[in-house]
Amino acid sequence: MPSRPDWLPVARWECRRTLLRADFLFSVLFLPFLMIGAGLLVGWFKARDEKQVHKVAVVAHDPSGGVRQQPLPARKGFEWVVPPAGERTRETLLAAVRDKRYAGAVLLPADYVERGQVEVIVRRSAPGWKKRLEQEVQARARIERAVTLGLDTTALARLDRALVTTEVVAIPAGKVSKVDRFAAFLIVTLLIVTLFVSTSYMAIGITGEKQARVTEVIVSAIPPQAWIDGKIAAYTLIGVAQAVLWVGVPALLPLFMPTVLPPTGVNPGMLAISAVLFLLGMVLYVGLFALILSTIKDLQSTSKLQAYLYFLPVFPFWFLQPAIDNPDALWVVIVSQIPFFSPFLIPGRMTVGGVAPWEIALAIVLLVVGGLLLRRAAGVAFRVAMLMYGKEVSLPELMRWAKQA
Amino acid sequence: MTPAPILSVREITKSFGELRAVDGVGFDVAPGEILGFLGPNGAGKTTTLRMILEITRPDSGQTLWNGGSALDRRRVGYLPEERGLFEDATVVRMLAYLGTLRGMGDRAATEAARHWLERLGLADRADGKVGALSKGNQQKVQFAGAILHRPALAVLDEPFSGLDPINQELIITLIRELRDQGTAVLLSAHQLNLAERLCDRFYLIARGRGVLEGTLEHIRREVARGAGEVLQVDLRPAASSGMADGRPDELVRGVMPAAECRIEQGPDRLLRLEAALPQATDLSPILGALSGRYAIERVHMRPLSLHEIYLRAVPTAAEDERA
Repeated sequence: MPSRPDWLPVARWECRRTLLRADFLFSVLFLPFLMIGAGLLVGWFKARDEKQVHKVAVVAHDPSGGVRQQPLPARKGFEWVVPPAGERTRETLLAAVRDKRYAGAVLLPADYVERGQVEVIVRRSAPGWKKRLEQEVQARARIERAVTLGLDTTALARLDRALVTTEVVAIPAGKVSKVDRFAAFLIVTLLIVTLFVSTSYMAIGITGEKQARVTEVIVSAIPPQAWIDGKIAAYTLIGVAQAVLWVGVPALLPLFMPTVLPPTGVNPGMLAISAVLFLLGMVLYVGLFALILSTIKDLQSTSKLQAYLYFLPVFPFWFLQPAIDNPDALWVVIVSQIPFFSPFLIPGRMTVGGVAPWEIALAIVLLVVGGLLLRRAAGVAFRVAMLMYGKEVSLPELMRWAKQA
Repeated sequence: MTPAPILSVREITKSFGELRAVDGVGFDVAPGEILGFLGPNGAGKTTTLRMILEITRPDSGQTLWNGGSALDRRRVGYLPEERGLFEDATVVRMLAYLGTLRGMGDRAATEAARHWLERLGLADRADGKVGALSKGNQQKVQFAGAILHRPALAVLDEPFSGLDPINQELIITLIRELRDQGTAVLLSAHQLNLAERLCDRFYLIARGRGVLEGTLEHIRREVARGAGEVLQVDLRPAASSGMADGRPDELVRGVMPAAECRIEQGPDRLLRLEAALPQATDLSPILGALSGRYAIERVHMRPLSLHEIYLRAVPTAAEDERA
């Protein structure tokens, strides 16, 4: 029977220690419920707000100097009120809005169509309903302008008739459904969130062991590389377990909430490729963090340059939208092959069908190579750094000691 | 027939920048033997142990396991000088983890952990947190972690640190048991009285270099330079005289100029004179010189202790270095 690999007890120990932590259980098991609950609550508040009727004072002067009694057409969610005669100036309306007698007020001078200017009074800047109010005023101005130009409502309707565009995709594999797009974005988002969670626990684990000075005993029993391999395996697994739970909990929602429909029609090939990139991305980033943490004494060591590498997973997010907007651009194809970027950009580009099979294959190969190199570098850094108890390792020191150790 | 060494250290050297931490250290440890690896702070002991354990590589020289094969980490036990335990883990779980790292199965490691906790008088603390243990009990747990897998070679760096005399005796007993069961023990300790009782052979290191090696008898001869025995005399000044009439060490040197003497003041005017002398020295001239001015209460002859050997060997090495 082949002997058990040295890294396996380390991986099991780390998994057990982390998975049984109360704060980890809370963040992984209860946080999704909390987030879903908060989402439902926000949705309920939003629906309630949408049902609310906003009482808006409208002072629309006509060319004769009077005030129109029906200034705007009736609209759901708004009650247009013509204020009494003594309350039609800018100052009095400001006071009335301040006193909450109106949600807002609109001043439409007789020549507002020609001047192209309208004043909207609100209690606080940019309330949620302001955009709809502006649309109403625009619509009214548009009709008035059409009348001025001699267009009747039929002519105006013909002018406004919308064009229906039909998308004809030239590359057959380029057709992607909304569900596919959602699935790919979900995997990318999960990668970054699970990375932050699992590597935070990795930081606690590694620096905790360093401070407790346990590492010397461990590397007398197994090679330093096996120790770091065990950590990488454990925290990758923890991240994957977290992602599975986070996807699994919402996936089970339809069982308890029949109004929630499960997603259908996900492209299994795209899902599988995204999952593989997720796994390899986890290994790569966990390896990177293992390397960083090997050179950091404790969690307070944020003054070191390498501590800033902690934010590396955020960078690919900035590139995601430009890559989706122009998936075939040369720079996008090149950047997508960088191992730190490919787990984010390849699934993102796949949502618009912009990735050739060779690109996927090459990205996977580069991710595997990158993961192996980082794993090795982390092993060397750890072996060197652990010889320098109580001292942080700068990069030049690391290089020098790596030669000597 | 002497068994073949399980560990052979061959002329290993290690430098850190300009500092030569270890310079040509070499020794063997055989199964069923306890080798005392002694030396002052900063002598290069920990660096040597780390090279033996392959935590770091020597610049030159080599360490041979079983005559030449690669170090089998699973058959080595290590108790580091600095305590390193997972304080938030339970005692038995942490020990079992250390056992699994050395290749034991989960169940065997847990059983071994409970067995050793029983032997160390910590059975009732097995399921408590490591962090709740006293310093001495943590040291015992660390000791258990080094030996629970019955290693072929146990490297014990300061195993008596933080232990009271009763627990020191317990650890001595357990180390002897290990030795009797065939484990080779490489022991580093500053408690030289305990090391003297426990070790079969010694290797003294100073400033990165080996300065003495062999059995106690052998190293005693090496450093004695003709003064391998110590005469101990307890005496009091005679009623009519005092120290002013002749210090005991001066009186001894008057009849034995080469004698190395030391005086300790005891209670109630008691003086203890210690004089290092060649073996089989005729004591009558010395005692005669003393008895005129002092009342002799006790006379005792003993060989040089390890402590005395150490004090002679280490400064000598330092002087050689300066020279």
